[in-house]
Amino acid sequence: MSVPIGAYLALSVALLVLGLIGVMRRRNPLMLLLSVELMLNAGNVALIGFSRQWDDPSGQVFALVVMVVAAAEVVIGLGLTVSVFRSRTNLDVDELSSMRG
Amino acid sequence: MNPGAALTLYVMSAATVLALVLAVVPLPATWRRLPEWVGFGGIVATLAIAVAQWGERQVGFSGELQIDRFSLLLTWIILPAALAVILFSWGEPAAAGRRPEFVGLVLAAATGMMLTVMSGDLITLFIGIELLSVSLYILCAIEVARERSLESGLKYLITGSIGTAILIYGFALLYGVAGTTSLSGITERLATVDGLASQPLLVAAIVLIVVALGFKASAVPFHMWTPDVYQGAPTPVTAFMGTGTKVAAMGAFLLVFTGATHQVSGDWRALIGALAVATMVVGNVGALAQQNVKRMLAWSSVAQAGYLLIGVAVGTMAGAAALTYYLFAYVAMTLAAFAIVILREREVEAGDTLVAFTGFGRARPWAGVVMTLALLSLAGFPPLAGFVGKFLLFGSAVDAGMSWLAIVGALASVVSVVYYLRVVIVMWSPRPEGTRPERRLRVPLSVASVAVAGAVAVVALAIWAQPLLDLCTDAARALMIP
Repeated sequence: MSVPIGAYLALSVALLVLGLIGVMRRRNPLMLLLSVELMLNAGNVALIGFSRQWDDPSGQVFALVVMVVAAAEVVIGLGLTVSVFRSRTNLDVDELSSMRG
Repeated sequence: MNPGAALTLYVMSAATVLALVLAVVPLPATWRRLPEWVGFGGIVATLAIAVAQWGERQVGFSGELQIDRFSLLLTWIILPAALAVILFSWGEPAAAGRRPEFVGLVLAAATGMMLTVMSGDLITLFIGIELLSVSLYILCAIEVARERSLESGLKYLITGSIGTAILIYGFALLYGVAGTTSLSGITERLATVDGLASQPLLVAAIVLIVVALGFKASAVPFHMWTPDVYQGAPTPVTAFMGTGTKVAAMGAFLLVFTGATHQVSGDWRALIGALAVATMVVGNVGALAQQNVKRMLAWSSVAQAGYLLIGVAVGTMAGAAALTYYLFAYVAMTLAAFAIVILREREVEAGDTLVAFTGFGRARPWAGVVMTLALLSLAGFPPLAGFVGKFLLFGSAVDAGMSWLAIVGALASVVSVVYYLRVVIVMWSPRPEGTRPERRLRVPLSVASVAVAGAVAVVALAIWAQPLLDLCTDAARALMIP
């Protein structure tokens, strides 16, 4: 039994919207990174759905590449967050504002 | 399969790895300049190969890479920009202790930019954009002891990864429409299937890709991060973001729109045109109030992205050729301007503020002349390269029946004269009476050579505009062949 493409798309749009809401509402860099992960995985779900629809493997290859890149991004994001955390105790991106204008 | 096609990427990757290995190997003090020399040698060797490869399209990795006149011409812009960044940081005190990492990351970012413009497939395009972005996130924050550098890196990472996520979704939808990730496959598919234009899925894909690449190119309204990130990052890194990233992002715009999806240009021309107008207006108005030269240059780079986007919005070969020419001019004048800012920063505290430039042109006439040429060219004064580039871009808009783009561009350029000329006037005005004579450092040869080379290029690109434009037209023709 195969899952229709509409179901893949519905799931991925739901994940994308959740991620976008998170990016807009959360101010903690860790939560922001988590929300971005949701958005990236929304893209992965869509890629794999279309890969099934077209019976073409390159969509799955793309999804694997996205996972690797997402991991690299999170590693750097966590590293930077820890460095910022060391220099200040309160984690809030709205307070990252020594520069303005 | 042609294993030699990707030789430029192999050499750059080898130099990157070598530079990063030097970060963990203890070096004797006499070899402390080795990482810079690795970067210098790697870039010069790659540039030589890229010049020698000029010719018909070569395909690598069964179509994943396309090395043709378009990608090679953009590589000729990216590599000198990377070389300039290595020279900017040559012996810079701030980067001491992590020089190998710095050089390695600059090389990695440059490799990503080259991969972006050489890509023949959405997957390669994505990897290229990410390689350059991820390297630049770290480069922005490389001065870990300075809070503004960290802040700049974290801000760039968060906005950049939102852009990445949107890009992936756009690519996924485009793949859903076309059934293939290959750029030439997408062109074929759009050409053979009627009724694909204005399909909701395709329109959604185009909107998302425009938004995501707008983030990377700092187009309005996705530019909010640009002033803070540019101001906080170490100035050599800012110069690299302002030049190399812009070239790669515009290359990606051209590959996806003017190249792969030109059959459905009716779906995206007005959208990218509106983006260009917003970017030109907001960028130039935002630059007006800035009291910090680095921040002013950040806003100016937003405005310049607007002019560049005109070349994408028109969707024609002439537009792509004009855009490529303007990229040469833009990189030369931006690097010259940043070289002078770096000189000033090393000499005085808070050297990137407008006040710090008072009388700088009188104290060092050659630096004053370089900065004046760079800023006049950015403002579009004839007969400099910036003027020729804008003339070509606006002309391509008129020819494509989008005169409104040219009109807004010309008006925005008039506004830009105010803030560019203000820096020039401050530089050549006398220092106020009674100020202490300031210390004068010996000008580092590496930075001075980039400044002079940039200023010479601003004039030379205008004098030899026709031969260069011929090359750019060849590049645009290669871009339009599926």
